[in-house]
Amino acid sequence: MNQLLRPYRPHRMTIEMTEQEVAELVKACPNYHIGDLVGRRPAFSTRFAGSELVLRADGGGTAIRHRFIDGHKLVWQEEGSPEEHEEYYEALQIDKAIYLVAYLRKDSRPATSVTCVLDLEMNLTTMIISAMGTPQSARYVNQRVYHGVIERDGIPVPMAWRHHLTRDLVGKSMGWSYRDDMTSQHIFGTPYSIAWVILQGPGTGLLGHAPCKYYKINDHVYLYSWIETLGSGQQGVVLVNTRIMHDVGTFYGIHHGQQFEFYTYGARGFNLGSYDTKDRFKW
Amino acid sequence: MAKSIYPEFTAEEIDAIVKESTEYNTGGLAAMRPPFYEGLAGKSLTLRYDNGVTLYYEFEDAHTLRWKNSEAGSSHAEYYEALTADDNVIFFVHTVAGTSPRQARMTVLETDTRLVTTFFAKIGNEISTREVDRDIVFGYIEGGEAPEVRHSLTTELVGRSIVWTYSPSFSIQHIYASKWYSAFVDFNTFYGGMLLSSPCNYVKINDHVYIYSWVETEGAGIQGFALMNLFDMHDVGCFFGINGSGRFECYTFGAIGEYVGQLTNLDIPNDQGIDYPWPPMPIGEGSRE
Repeated sequence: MNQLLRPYRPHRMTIEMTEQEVAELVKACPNYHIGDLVGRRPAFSTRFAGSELVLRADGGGTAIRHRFIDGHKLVWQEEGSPEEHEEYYEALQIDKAIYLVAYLRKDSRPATSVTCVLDLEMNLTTMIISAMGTPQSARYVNQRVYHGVIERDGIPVPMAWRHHLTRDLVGKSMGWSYRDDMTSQHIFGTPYSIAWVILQGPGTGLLGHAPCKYYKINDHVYLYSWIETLGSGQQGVVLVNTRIMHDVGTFYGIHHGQQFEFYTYGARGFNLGSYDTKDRFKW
Repeated sequence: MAKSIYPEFTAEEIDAIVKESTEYNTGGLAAMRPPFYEGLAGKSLTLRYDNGVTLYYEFEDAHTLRWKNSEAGSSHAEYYEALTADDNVIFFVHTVAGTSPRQARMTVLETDTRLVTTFFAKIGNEISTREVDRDIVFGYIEGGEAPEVRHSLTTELVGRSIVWTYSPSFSIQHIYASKWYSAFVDFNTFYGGMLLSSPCNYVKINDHVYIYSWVETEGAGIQGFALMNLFDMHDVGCFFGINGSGRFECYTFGAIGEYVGQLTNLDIPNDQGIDYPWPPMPIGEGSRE
């Protein structure tokens, strides 16, 4: 092939797997929580150690009681179920009262990760509960997003206001520096998708794209999450504070090197401008 | 490898598809296409390329040309279409009948400078039988001293974006995202506002006319070729390959552009010396970059 073209071929790099193979790989990767994008991750927060929260999704959805034992150990229990589950978790702070909490449900099959935004100012939560496997592929992440409230200490919760889908970011672009030698550009091209360009690191100049959802947490904090459906099937979650231009987030799934991972990261951001396309989408 | 929604074909199947697609030059994006340029009719041109190839063209009328590889060689008749993108910039395209896999040439002529750029395209490469491969070759039109400069690959478009309207109900946003890659947003169809991406190349013709050409490597494998005039915000171009419906096509189009902005082009790869350079090309003494 002519070398003037440098195709990024994610679907050809992706090995199809059975559900059994995925389950075995998950078991074989006990260090799933150790990623290589930790250089700009803030220190873990111990804000929740010793506290108890119920994350209640709207519409009769899931309600999960969380007892945070210490900075890395929690016990969760689905409302109505006697079963308690102890997990390793990581918590990161991104705004004065907004945190990201992430944990993998140990021994779950399909392996299930939980990435929660905890908004203690409004007592709102957005939970991304993702399991391995979709009807298309056993290695793709199947994502469910729940909006709801945080019940704690008898504090009243908002009746109607919730984190919600947003188009505020459409047309904008941000750069994210994860390490001195790893920078990527995110282009929020449409209300439903994202493109990223590798500015530094393996594959400099290459671009990927994926379906993506964008949520407004408050006037300067946004959450977005994509699934790499053209390739490895992994999930990326970004919780960004546009005032300090910093993010925290998680990556979940099986990467092209055939390792299962669910790890937190942080990156320093910079505004790369915008396109005037926000109002062109009729959907 | 993960499943693809675009089936691979054998070489024989590709040949059969090409043979069956007699209306290959008819596409659905002609509404904004300017009238065909007829000024080549009756002319003869000798195109000398920097890779040593010389092509001799005789344009019999507005849609028939004859070409040959050497002055004394036998000539081949082809159907062609020509369009202009600027006062002195002519684009013409033709397939090469009888080739297997099927080839096509997209040529941009600049009549004032006598510079030429041709995409020598063919269906299939070592990765996929349906994916278009191409060589981009620069050269000049014979007729006096050989020009010292050439059209050239460029990064000048990186970061910019244009929404191209092909018809009142069909618009696409092109995002010239990096030196190697582009993205596009379909505002209209079942993709429902999704964003897709393709590897691409950009060629500078003059200070306001550029070629942007991509290959849909994660899709049907077709090549898009757009010759864009950024003064008029109009483009002309063509699609070539086996489309998503399994039909062979090589048809021209035109579109009206609307500039929608420029992202910051940090040029980190160049600044930090970690860029992937373009591979060596047999280019002339200088370029317009």
